[in-house]
Amino acid sequence: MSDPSGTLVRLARLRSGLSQRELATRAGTSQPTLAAYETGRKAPSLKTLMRILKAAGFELRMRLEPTDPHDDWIRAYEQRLPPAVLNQIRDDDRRRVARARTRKGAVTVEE
Amino acid sequence: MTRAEKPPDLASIIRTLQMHRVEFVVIGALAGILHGIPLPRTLDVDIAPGSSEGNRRRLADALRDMDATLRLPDPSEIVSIPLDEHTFDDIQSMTLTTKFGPLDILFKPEGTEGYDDLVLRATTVEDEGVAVPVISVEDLVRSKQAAGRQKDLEHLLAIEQHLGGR
Repeated sequence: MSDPSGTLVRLARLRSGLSQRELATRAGTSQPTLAAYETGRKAPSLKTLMRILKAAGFELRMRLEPTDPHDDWIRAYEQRLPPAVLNQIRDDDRRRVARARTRKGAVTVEE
Repeated sequence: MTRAEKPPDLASIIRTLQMHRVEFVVIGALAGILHGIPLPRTLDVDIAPGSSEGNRRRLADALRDMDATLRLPDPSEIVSIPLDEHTFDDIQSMTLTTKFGPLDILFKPEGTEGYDDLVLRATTVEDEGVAVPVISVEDLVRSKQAAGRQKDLEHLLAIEQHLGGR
């Protein structure tokens, strides 16, 4: 799983419609540094993360929740599946995505 | 192959629910996939069923038909539970293993008011010959935003990139 702070920076930037350079300027950092945060090559401190998110027009709200064992179970389940089955599942999902996009493209053409 | 090693069979899960006239919508990463958003799937099927007494009874019937058992930390272990109209009393969610694969039931996904709320904007997606009721992308975003786990953030980013064509 990718670094959550990088995911947050990228998500906030996309939602704000800003380029990396624009957000970097507003947040008082450089575009290369912002790019490094987004790709996970560097991790901002929590304070820096909140400054960047604020510059994008967002604030971070946090809460504590009890651990959910759901994902651990899924990981264990995934590990028990033969690789061929896992690959089949992923192929099936890729086909679903492709079919959905074809349907949406067809609707656009008809309009 | 043991039950824990079988791939999920979405079509059979949906058909069984529909055969028993269960009101539900598919939620979670699979809903995104059915909308054409390439989300990494968690290999289980997540549904939000209606919470009326009648629907809970029909849901219990469908789960019995699917040989549903309660999910335990070790995927190779199974434990049977009584499946009737009282199964879901005072319960908001349940994680199960069925003969068609893992199935998660959430009566009120975070950030939503449950089936009665979600069905208003749900659509139907044809998948392997089955008409699958799926929550809207907007409601998918709403529920993932409310859940706020790390994987939800990653899904939100993938959805945002998909919607923005990036």
